[in-house]
Amino acid sequence: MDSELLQRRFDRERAARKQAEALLEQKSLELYRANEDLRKLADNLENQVQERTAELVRARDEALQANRHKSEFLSRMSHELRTPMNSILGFSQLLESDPVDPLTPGQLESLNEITRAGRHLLELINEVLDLARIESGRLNLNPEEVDLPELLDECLSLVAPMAEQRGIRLVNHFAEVSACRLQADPLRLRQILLNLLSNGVKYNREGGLLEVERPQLHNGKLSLAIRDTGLGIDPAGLQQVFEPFTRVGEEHTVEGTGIGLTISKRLIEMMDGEIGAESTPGEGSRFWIRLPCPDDGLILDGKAEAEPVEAEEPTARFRVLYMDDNPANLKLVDRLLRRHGDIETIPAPGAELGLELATAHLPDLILMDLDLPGIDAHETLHRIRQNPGLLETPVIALSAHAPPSEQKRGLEAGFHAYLATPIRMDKLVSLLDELLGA
Amino acid sequence: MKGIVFSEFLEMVEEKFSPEMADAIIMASDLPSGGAYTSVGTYHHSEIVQLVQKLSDSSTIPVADLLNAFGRHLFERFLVLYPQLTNGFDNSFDFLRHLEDHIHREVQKLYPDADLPHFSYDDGTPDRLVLEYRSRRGFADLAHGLIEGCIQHYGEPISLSRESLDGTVKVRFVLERRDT
Repeated sequence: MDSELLQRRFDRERAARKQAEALLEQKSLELYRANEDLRKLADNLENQVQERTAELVRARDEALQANRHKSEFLSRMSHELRTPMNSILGFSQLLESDPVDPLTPGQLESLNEITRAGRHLLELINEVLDLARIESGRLNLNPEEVDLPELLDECLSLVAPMAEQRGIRLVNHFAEVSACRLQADPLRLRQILLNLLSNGVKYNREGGLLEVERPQLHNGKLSLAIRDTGLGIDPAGLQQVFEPFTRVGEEHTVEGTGIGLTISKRLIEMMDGEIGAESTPGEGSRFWIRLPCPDDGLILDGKAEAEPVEAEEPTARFRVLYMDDNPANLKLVDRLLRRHGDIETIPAPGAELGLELATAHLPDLILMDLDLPGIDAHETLHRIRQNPGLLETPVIALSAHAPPSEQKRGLEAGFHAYLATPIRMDKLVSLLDELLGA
Repeated sequence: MKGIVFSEFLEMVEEKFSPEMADAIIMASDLPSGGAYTSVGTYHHSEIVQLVQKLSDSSTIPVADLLNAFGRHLFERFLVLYPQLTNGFDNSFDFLRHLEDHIHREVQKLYPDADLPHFSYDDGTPDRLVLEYRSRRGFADLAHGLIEGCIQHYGEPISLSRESLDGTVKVRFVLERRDT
């Protein structure tokens, strides 16, 4: 090769190298810019995510606050509504059987309507409040060991008077088991059982049968079923029974709130249980619940025959001390218990006076409003217990709005029971019968 | 046209003919680039046309034959420079069917300014493939050589025939598997 050729070749190679370098430079710059753009995009995206997150947090907080306001409003409203209901129901009951100035049959009929509607309204208020509490997640369960046969007996005796009125026979095959214990919130389980049993009575035919089936334990779940001989529910209706405010078939003839089963469903689901129903139109329905239960929780055999449940007759003659600063309540309970015949009421409009009267009379039972001015209710109870003659005397707490936690504390502190105000006379009477051992 | 075609061409000329021949055809052509090529650059395709023409003039080998030979050489070089080129393709038909949607697509990503020829193919049969080449450049002979290079690489008994649809701008290649 001659040197000229080599020189040309060298020049071309150098030119090519320079081109390549220029290209490299240009591509590097492009890459750098692309990277910058990407980074800006990523930053932007990050900012957007942060903005959106902040917006969502704000929206969530607003929703939570709105929900809190709704719950507070419902709670307050319900309290405000319950207080006048107290007077309406109480004085209606007084009028109903005033021995001095009895009502004419026509007036009595009207009064019955007022009482019935009043109770219905009260029940509705309580259930709406319950549902609101469940849905806002503010309802807490307090599970403990529950003796299910005993709880069922208690619920059956509560629906027995209503069943008797309609000639419905109650048969409890659950009584055939010798023991059945499981973990549940007794107060709420009672509410569920009462709901199912009272539905079974209300939607039954006159002279029908309401049967609690023998329990079964399968796969760690205990099932309890209640069978009625009512009109039954068609398949479409059956899908709706657990929805709020859907009452199937007998809206006009049977009184109810339409959310009892909804509440029962929510409660049982909170207990990790299930609820369901089957029905044959024209023959009757069967509602069942399933609850988690240990394998040794159910002991079958034992008692042989199903026990027919009888309504218990109230008897006994006792003295009841009633502490309440509301004169209308004092008057109401005094007259009602006096009419009951067996019970004498000692009214005490204040805690101090109540304590004096308790020492002086050593009553068989004490009713105490928790919101008495002056001494705190727990302190009052403590002072009652200091009197050796009152060590075992049952003390019932009355309150319009005691949450379950406070009720539990009260029961642990020595109160025998809680009664919600306005006082349901039938509840008070059955509680008195129970505690006074009639 | 991508610079790799030019640099590979000149290297082939230096190797198969001589460095003097390469220098002579560069000097005899009127090249805006001055014959200085880098494989990553881009140059006007008329430069390769001139270079091949001058080589044909000097060597008395027809342009078509030179382009065909260069095509076969270029395929071999591609395999050396880009060993992953044939990854995932088991035979010539497989490779050629994915030329457009796989290989050219990747090239286009790397070099957005690349002006690539178009290949379309019919569904054919397992033993027959019809490829249609289209390019404004009219390098059907180069494509022909590349396809032959591909068949050679896979070592398959395939016969290749071609039919011109529009000079060297649009050409149909027919590949048929022969019985062995």
